[in-house]
Amino acid sequence: MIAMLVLGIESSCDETAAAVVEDGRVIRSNIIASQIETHAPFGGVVPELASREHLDRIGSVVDSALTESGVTLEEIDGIAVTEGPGLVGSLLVGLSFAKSLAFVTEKPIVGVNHIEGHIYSVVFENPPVAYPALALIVSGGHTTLFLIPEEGLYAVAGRTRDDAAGEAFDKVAKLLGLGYPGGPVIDRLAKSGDAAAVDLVFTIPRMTPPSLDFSFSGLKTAVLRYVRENKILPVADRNHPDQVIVDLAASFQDKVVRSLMARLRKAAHRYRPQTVILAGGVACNSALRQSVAAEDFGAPVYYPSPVLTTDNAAMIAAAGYPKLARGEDHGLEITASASMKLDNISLEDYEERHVQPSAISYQLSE
Amino acid sequence: MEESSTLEDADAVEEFVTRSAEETFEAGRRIGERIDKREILLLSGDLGAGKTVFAKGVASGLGVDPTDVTSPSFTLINIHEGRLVLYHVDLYRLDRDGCRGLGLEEIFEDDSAVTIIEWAERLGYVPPGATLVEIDYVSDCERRITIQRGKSSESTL
Repeated sequence: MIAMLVLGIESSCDETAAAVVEDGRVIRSNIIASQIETHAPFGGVVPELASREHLDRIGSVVDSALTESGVTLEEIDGIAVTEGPGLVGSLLVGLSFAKSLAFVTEKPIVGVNHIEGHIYSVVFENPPVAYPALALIVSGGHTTLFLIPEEGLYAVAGRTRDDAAGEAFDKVAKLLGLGYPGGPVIDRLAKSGDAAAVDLVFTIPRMTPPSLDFSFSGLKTAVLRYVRENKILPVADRNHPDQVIVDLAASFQDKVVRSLMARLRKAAHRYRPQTVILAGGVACNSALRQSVAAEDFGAPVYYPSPVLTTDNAAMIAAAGYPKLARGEDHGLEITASASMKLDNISLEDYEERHVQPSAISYQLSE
Repeated sequence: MEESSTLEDADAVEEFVTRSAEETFEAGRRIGERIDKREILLLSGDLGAGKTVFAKGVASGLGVDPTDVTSPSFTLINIHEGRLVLYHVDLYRLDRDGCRGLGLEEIFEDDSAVTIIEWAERLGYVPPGATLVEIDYVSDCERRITIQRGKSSESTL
């Protein structure tokens, strides 16, 4: 059988990316142009800059993806492009480019949810995903636990009530004067910190059991309170932070990891998945990976290598592959969907049919 | 929460103290309930002051499920459908130039849209008719909320 080649295009946030993927799981090329350096002075994304940069780069990024894969545009069997969620201005650059390619080449095109893309980021380096699967997607904009009974069906089993985990990393890093993005620097500092040296007391919103929702806003406020009460100043030299900052980073990260692990553990107990997926930018965090690796979920845990945890187009091509393989063609009417949801089945219905009541723990403790 | 006056008078300033996140939510909810047309709420306050909690309250008053309302710091704009369309904006990661790319002016012109902007001081100006909501940290669980209604002309923050 001849291989199916999918061109993936992603431009939902900081990265302009294109990739060619064979049969949904072999990366022929994966080009990512990051805007982090452009945005670093601002401490985050500047939307106007973002769309301009995407526009400047999209052509050469797609060209490079084709050249590096050794595939011509004519040989591509279909195009997969991120339609949301993300910044409309940024999404439109990738979408318009993808649609014009589809129009010119008369190839099918499918829109992909960016979060679904993250879930597919594990397909390249792991055995095939067995269902039901449980996926924890943790990034700057998202902290969501998905139950996936079979390919393409998603129920939200838990989500953040306030800040995303990655956002908490960024805000705490900014508070401590550690720069942007916050995840890698806190991860690095935490390795030489003593989490027990800083006691962060925080509350989370009242949740009706058996909720698996997350909350990180109270933890962020607890860091702020600790900084205020102990009159801690932002670091002067990022390479040599005081021990108290290092310990604070360790304690904060420890709390985040514990919170993520507690929900994941409960969800695995409740849904008995065949596969556990950990993806998104925060999946790079070494402490989170260690905790996940040390845990027995009764199912293998798949996570992507670091380059695939960040936004990339290989995962978009992989998520688009089953749709294209089914013969879907979303046509030139696809539009950007800034607040696109990934939630197409009811969790209640699934639980009624598949979950033993005894598997639902009503304990509030973690 | 201490008794508050109504918000009907233009340029009236209302000030009260909330003593928990629940009270901050409730203050937002009461305001949300009374909104029946275009409204722009500009929220200011430090990290952890409770801006998102207040926004959740307003959303709840507009008939949006508050658990759906999460921090837009990363996504910049979250859109919710309640009695009116709610644009929940967060300028935390932006500077004044960055705000220009968001298309806020178009949202402000929408007569049936409610806009809540966190870190509104980064906008650099006050859109006509906007309500200023400042949330100040008083103590660990207390926040002073100052609401200034009906700025009729453009002015700088």
